[in-house]
Amino acid sequence: MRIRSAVAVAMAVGCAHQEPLAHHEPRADTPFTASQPIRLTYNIATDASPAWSFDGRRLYYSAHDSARSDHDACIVTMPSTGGTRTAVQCPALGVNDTSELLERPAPGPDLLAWSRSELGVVEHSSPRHSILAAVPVPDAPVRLLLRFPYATTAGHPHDMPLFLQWLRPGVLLYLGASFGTSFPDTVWLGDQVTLLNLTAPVPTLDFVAGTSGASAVSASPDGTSIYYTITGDTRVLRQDLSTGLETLVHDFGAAGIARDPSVVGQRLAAIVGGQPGLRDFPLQGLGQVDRGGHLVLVDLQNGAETVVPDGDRLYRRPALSPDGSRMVAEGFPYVVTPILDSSGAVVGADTVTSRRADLWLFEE
Amino acid sequence: MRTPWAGLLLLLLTGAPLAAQAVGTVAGVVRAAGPGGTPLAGARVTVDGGRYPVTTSAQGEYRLREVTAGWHSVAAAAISYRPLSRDSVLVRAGQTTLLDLPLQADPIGLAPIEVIADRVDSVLDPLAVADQQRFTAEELRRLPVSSVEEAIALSAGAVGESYRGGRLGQQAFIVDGLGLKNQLDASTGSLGVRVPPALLAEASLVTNGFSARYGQAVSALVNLATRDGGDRWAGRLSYETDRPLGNGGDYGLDRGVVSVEGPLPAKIRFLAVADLSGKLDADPINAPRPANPRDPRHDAPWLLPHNSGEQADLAAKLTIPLGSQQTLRILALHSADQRLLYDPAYKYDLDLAPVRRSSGNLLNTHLQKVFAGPDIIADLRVGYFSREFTRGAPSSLPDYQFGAFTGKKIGIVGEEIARAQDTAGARAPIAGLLAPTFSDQTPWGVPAFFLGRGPRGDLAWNRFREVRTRLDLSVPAGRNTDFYFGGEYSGQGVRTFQRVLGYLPTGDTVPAATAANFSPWSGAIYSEVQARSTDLAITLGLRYDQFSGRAELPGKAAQAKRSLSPRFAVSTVLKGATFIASIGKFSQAPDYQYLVDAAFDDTTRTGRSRQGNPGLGFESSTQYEFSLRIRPVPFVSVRGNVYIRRLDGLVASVPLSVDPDSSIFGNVDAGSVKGAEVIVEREFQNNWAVRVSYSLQEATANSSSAFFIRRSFTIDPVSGDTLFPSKVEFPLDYDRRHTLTAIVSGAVPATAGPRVLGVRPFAAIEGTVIFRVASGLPFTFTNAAGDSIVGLPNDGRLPGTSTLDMLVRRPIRLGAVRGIVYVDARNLLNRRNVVSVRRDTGTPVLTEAGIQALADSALSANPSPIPFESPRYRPWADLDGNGYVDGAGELRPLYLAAARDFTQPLFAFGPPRLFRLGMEIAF
Repeated sequence: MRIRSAVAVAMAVGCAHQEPLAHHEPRADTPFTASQPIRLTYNIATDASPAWSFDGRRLYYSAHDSARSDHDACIVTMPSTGGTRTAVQCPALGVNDTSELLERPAPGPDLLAWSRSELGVVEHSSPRHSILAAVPVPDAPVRLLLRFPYATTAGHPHDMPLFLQWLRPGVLLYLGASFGTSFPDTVWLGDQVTLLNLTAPVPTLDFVAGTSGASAVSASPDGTSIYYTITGDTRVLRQDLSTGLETLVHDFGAAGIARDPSVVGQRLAAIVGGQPGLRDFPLQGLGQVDRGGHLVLVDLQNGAETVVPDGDRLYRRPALSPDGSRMVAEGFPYVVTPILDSSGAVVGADTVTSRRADLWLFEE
Repeated sequence: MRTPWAGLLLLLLTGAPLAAQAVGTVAGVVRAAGPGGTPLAGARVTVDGGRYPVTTSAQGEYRLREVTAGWHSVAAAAISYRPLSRDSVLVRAGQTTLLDLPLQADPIGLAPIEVIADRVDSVLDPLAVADQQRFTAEELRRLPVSSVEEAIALSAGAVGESYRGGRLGQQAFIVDGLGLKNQLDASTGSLGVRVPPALLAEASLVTNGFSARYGQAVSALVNLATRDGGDRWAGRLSYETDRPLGNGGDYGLDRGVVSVEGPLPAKIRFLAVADLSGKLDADPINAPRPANPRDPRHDAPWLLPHNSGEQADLAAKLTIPLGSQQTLRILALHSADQRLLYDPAYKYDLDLAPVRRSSGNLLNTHLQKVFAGPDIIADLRVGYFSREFTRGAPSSLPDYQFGAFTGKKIGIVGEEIARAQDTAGARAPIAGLLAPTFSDQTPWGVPAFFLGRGPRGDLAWNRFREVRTRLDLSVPAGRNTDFYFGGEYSGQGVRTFQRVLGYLPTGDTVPAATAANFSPWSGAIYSEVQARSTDLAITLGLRYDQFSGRAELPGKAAQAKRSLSPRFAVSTVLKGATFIASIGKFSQAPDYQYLVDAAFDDTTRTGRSRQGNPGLGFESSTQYEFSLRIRPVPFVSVRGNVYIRRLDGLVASVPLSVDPDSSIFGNVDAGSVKGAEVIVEREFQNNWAVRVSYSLQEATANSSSAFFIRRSFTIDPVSGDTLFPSKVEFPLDYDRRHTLTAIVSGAVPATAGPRVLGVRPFAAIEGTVIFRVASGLPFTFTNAAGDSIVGLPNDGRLPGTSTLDMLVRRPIRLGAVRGIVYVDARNLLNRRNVVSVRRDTGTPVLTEAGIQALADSALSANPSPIPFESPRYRPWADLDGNGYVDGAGELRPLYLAAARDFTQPLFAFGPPRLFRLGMEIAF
């Protein structure tokens, strides 16, 4: 009896010893400040391509981690209320002569897709692009969906995908783009909206007719149609994918060139005017080297436009939340530097837009 | 009336196998009882109920040779005399047990057997030339030790598992007379099998003069003799734990041992032991509490997570009599252990730290046949031994069921690739491995020192198998001479696999995976003769060894290596003392790991490969020794040994061509060990015993390496010339100069002490205290980067260490159940012994300047601000509240704290004070 008691006592007092030596300072899922609009990120490098999770509870975006010596960018996620980001997919370390950028996350219920750009920083070789996917948990095994470049049925090269997103389960939507040069940068010029159908045994590409020269695209929430803009054009167009019927959604007219549309219900968000960087490229013709613009909300029931106050920023890539009540966008600070004459009098102003973006959250 | 002199003389007359380390001899005279009883010729003497029968000579002498070490019963019978049996006769390996058997006259011959226990002197035996330090099973139970290795380490000349200056792996194990060695990587790995102490009859360390029967040992023999099952069913059940002791004493230890033994039909005896232990902290540390309260060790400094281990040792033995002349013994042993290995770099990402798994199997069969006519004893032994080892990143965390016991194997990422030796498949990154990055889970946040996201990417697997067969013949040649002949052959199998940086493809900066698959063999023959006269015994032996590594590497031919090892000993009795002089050469094949290519990571992501050298030959040593043993008063003995051991052909890494990153192994090092040992022992009498041993030793290596010579120049005071020596000397790794070990045992008489409620609480309490003090081991200074030796190897020396261990036991009786409760305390005084230091500073802790330099270097590598949303952001470090931890004012304190955390001397100190509470019951 005593033996059994001793053993029982020993078993009872045995405690869980494997508590890790992790530091326990949990962070609240709140932003640094709550003032509107809410600045979600403070990264000194670029945060880009924000996208909502299908349930609107998390945000995914591409973040350059300044602590990584190879200047790679990761796909990260954070609570939609702001807070601490978590890396979901990062390029492998160790290949220091290659810079890998994981960008344009497309979160779906089951799969997270993104694009990867791989650039040899030593040889300055042309970047290689691909579309990858994995279940949306950190460091999940990755599946290669599509490798670039390829040529469209019209013979145009597609070097990379822009505006990658899920049209519906099993079908990815993106704007096929080719690259041009605008010294000192490599720029991407939209060519044609493309669907990557993963439901077939062999993935297939469908090039959406009538979208040549598109500068941006987004899917309708029900996955039946697309919203897109055309290079140098002030309109936002919609095409029903089943009928090919094209309709005008909104024309910003004199406000400037429209791009980066996002539509939920009767609300349209788009970038208008600003610095669309319209240029003529030798091979592709007219193209946009966008440095950001003004963020405009449109009530599609009555066409009323609301310009979101800039706050010393230009914006790109607005993304409406699934319920349309919130919006996240890349914000590029710009600095106005006065130009002085020899007497010190202000004779003009030089506006410089940063190439480094943070993410901003707009709430109703 | 028997005097020590008479005993010694009788020993000389009867002789004993000189150094048959797994067996001993029982010898004596059968005579009629009573004063001046006449010797009885033709009496029959047997062991253990009838086996090994011998007949006494005309002088009544008998000699039972080749008796397995352990407890036996010896019986004598003669016509017209009452049979006599003496139980509990302890036969010690390599020694002669002296046992006279007086028979009472009994014309009818029907009287019952008389049982008398007897023990004889085992110290002054001049025919046992070996320096043999022993622990019987009962002694092991009385010591504060948990394993055979810990007990053997109490021997004079032992430094852990290094003996007389030899490095790890230069010892050989003998289990029931059959050699056992992990020939693949004994110098860096474990044996793979552990013999449970409950299975043992005796364990001993032999440091010189061992028989020509045994080779494969340059430093020492660890001789383990298992016991046979008893002739009635019995068993023991014990359990010990430290878990009720709470924080600071609770390291999650559980250990249970079950042993069962008894007779089976056909006079077969059976013995089985299961020894299971689990430790949630398998390697307790005694490092100081860190000062920074944000360091999680600040509040709980005593226990490291991801440091657990569990092991199981299962053994069974059958002793099968085959008639009266033969005995077949079959021993099967399986050991398995797995460990989570704490890696300071993964302090905050523990699930990525490495794990290790190993297992071993031993099947040992021994058939002994006595050819009664010529009195030849033949021993045939066949053994199978295998050991498998895997190390890498865990594929899942262990699921603890009870304490540290999981009951299942811990998976290791990529082990199927390793086991298949798929070097082609291993060119690609190993699935499941991610590249490590700096951890963001630390209290400090900054990207420095600590790793996360992925493991280190190492994967190692190897397997060694061996079938060893040996035949020993013991042939008497007249009364004063014995011959011993024999040989052994071992067919082996070696398979290895190594991959480093497994999260990257192999290529320019990542060495290809390496694998080896070959079948070496080794063989030996020996002959030994022992001759005796009235006061002199001479033993002369010769052993021939050969092995072929058969490392079939491209362009390299396999070469058989040979070694001839003579051994000679002379012993005599001079004025009450036994004097022994011996000289012997010992050879052992090198670890086979040095025959194969290896890939390794030098931590700077320029992983390298190292060529194997199939041309490696034997490592050898030649030892000269003088020993003196005296017994100044009854029950007290003094033993002294003085020895010189010359080491030659030691395997070391040497540069290959002009590339400093390329090296190859060669038999290039030499050295010498000089030492003296004194062992004073008072046997257990009048409820106390003591054993004090002291060893003085100097172990040096001689090298003609140009690298070392260039560092050893002197300036001629007259000419001012720079002088370089032709060779340099430096201490060997286990050059411990002074070691003093005192073992004191005592017992309270069963009737002592006051009676409280009908019980004497202090009665029959037994206790053993072990005090050890030792000077420090040498270490090598390196530069701060750790990639270059500063000065000569082993130029530095650690401080001395001391420990006090204690075991207190008290018998208990619970109804019909007898048992023992005990408290086992290690390092009772909780002394913080320095067992390792930083090689750049020679101290356990990095200097403050060094910590600051480390922090500044890390800061300059990653000076970027840490934004609010980063998991590295620490609000308390954002002093200006701007959403960034930025600037030297905010970042540098974090880097400093991280550097201080990372350089904690966790493993610089020996184990802390440890307690175990145990209970054992017999049934």
